[in-house]
Amino acid sequence: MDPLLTRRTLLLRIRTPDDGGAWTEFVGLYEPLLRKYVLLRGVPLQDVEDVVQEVLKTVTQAIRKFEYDPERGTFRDWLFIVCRSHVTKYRRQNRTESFANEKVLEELAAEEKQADWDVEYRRRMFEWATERVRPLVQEKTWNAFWLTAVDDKSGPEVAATLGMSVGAVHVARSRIIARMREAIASATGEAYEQP
Amino acid sequence: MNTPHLDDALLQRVLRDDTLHLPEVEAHLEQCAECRARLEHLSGADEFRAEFEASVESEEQTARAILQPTSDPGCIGTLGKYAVRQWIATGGTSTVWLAVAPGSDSIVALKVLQPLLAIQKDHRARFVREAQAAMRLKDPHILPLLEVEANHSPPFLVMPFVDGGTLQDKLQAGPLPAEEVVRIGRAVAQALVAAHGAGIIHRDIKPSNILLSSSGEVLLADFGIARAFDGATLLTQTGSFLGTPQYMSPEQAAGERELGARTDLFSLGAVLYQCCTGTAPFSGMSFQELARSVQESAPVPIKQVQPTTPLWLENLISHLLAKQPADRPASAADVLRAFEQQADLGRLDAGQMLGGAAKWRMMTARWLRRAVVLMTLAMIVLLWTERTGRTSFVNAALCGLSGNAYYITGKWQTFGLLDEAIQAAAPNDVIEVRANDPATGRGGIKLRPGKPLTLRAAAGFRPVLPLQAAGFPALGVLESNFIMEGFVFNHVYRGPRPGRLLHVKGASLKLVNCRFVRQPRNPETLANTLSALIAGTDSPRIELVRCQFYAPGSPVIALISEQPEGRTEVVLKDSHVWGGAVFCDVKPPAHLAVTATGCEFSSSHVLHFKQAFPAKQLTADFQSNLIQSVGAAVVAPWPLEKVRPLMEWKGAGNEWYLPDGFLLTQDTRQPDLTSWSHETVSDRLAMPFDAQAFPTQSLSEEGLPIRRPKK
Repeated sequence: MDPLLTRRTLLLRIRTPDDGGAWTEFVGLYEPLLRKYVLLRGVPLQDVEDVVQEVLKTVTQAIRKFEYDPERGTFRDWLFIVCRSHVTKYRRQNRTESFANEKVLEELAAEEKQADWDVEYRRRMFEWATERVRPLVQEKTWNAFWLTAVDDKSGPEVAATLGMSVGAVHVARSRIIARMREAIASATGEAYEQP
Repeated sequence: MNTPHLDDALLQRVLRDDTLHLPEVEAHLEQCAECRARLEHLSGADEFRAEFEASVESEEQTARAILQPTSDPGCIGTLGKYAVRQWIATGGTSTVWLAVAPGSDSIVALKVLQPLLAIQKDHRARFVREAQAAMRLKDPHILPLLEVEANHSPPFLVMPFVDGGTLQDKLQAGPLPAEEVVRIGRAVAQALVAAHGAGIIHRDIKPSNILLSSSGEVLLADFGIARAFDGATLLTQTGSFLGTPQYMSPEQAAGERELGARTDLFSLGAVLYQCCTGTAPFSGMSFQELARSVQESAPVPIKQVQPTTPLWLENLISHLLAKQPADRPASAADVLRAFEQQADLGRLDAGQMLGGAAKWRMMTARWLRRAVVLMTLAMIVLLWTERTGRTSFVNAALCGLSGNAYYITGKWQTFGLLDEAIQAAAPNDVIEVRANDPATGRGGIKLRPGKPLTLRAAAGFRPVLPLQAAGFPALGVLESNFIMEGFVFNHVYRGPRPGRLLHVKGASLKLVNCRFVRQPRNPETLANTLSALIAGTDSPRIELVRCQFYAPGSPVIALISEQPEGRTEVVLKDSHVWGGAVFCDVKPPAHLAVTATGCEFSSSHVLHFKQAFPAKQLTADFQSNLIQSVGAAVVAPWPLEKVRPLMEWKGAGNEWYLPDGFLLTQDTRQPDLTSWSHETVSDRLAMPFDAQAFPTQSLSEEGLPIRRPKK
């Protein structure tokens, strides 16, 4: 039984209103990403929550009305568009001295690099997967993964540091990678299928 | 190769099952590169790495992107004219590097603004302005700013490098001894005296901004920078606030733009609190929670956590942590004096430590002193003797003084418009109104998700909401649970299609002691199609208690559900409906449960399903009601055989007057309830449904006539 195939992704689950846990998970996943994005684009602190809520509302409404079409691009790309347009909308509605005219607004919107968003998005996915997977595994197993995959240390070196066999280090690392990918796939169901 | 290669099935099992421990597999993997590669492939390591290269790399690697390359072997890059040796730290707004100044060999720290912030012209301009102002500051306890490289992109600050670390590093190991706390407090207070004297407010005092050199100096760094970025300084690398203790003042948490110098004093208090106890005074799992905590709750008293703290120091810290700036020490100079003399600054009032609801309980004595000027002696006596009425009395006085009708129970502020009160309210607050003709504001009643509220008329008032416009969208759009009590909705309509009054979406609604009146301006023009008074879209529960509805032609409740398994519960108690149907549907929820107790319905229909019948189940429980229904009580647009299994009817003690029968389906009419319950219907009675007879006397009169058929 392949958990990837049988588990419904978060994006699908938030369509059912009965699945209250799905909504909480969804918000928990995307809120920090959105918050950071919005904040770093100059929206003042007291308005950040409102803008983030608006983005979430647009997203969930579109998903519930089946307006988001997974065929036409990834969720990540689509979320970027939604987020960017809400920030632009905010700027337009709250013209401060620097957002005084359309030209500046356009310039700012054009400066938005999809690549920057992609990096932030993936960073958040990684962090989120970490939050879910790390508590479920042993300290040693996690460290074996982190030291080899993130800190790029060699197998034998890590094995010596942690007091594990080299084979065990590889097993640990592979297991965690598989778990992380599952966790992320369960959120978006995108691009992370098993080979 | 000692052992045969491992097959895929085995490798998959190893991957899936965390508990599987096979030493022989591990031993083989150690030797066999091919099987290791296979395992990697099955776990998807290549894709994983490709996807997360950016996230998996450390903060340092990301930050390095802005450095220019260098041929100098001791350096990792250059920034402007500085040779960068080493990465030190990255925060929400900036990265700090260790570098060497050209020409001299002095070691400096470069604080570089995050590129994303740097491209925003007004932020950048503010950053440069604030930094240039901070350059003027000269004090032994202020980290000097050597240069502001405004023309570089991104701009950065140059400061002398202080070897030793920050207070944050030191606090990792736990609380500090009292002498150390005093030493640090005194130094920061002195720094603030210099800064405030020069008109500069720090705004972001926290342990990571207090440097402790290895030679024992205490230096406050990063002046004024926080102003340029509002909340960005609160971010961690990935945008989460979770669990990060903060030192912001209540006014900062409230989003005040104009901050006074005393905001720094609060932050200093928070830092010192942590130095004494080891933990920050306020925390929260989200920004909202944290902000609330800072504004309203009192931190655990220091003596409970660290009893060895000297009393004067504890009092001083408490004084610094007063919620209202006016309650804190008047200036940094006073605080400095307190540290030098090792004495506190006077008697402390516990009420100053609290805010919000908690403050009420503590503050009334203090409030009284102020209010003496405003109230007569008789009123004061009343206040002391009338314990239960105390709070409402205070609210009344405040409303009277300010001319505002709305307030949130337990809080100080009053509001002129309902919009404002809703905006200022926290989830589950109770907003009361002390007026008979309140103003709602342009937006009507708008409740966003996540803000359940109660709106209630204050004792002795019967607010009437005047609704004149023709065909507007709902007066109230409610997306959070809402309770409303004691209001009159008086809707006199002109045009052909007056809209709904309250629309609740995805949340529950409870109305208590409310009256809804809807009538045409010209009685001749009773409209044909009228919207319901209350609409619920995917609302789990609508409850009406002691409500009255006088709205000929208008259904009371319309129910809509978009969900295939939608569930709604409607509960009516002691209410009276005179006019249109009690319910109608637009798209009924699949499961609908209706309970009515002690009500009187004098209506066209009770349940009028126009387009569809509840797809899964309709459960009705009617007890002790009086039901006079001019048309059939239940109208269902499906054939009887489809309706029958879906409708469950329970009733006892009702009086039924059904000139047109009980149930009307697509193909038949059922004159009575015998198929569903043992209840009987009285003999046919002519009951004129006379719109002209709608009572037009004053709405504030209680006890409008209820038309009972004569026996």
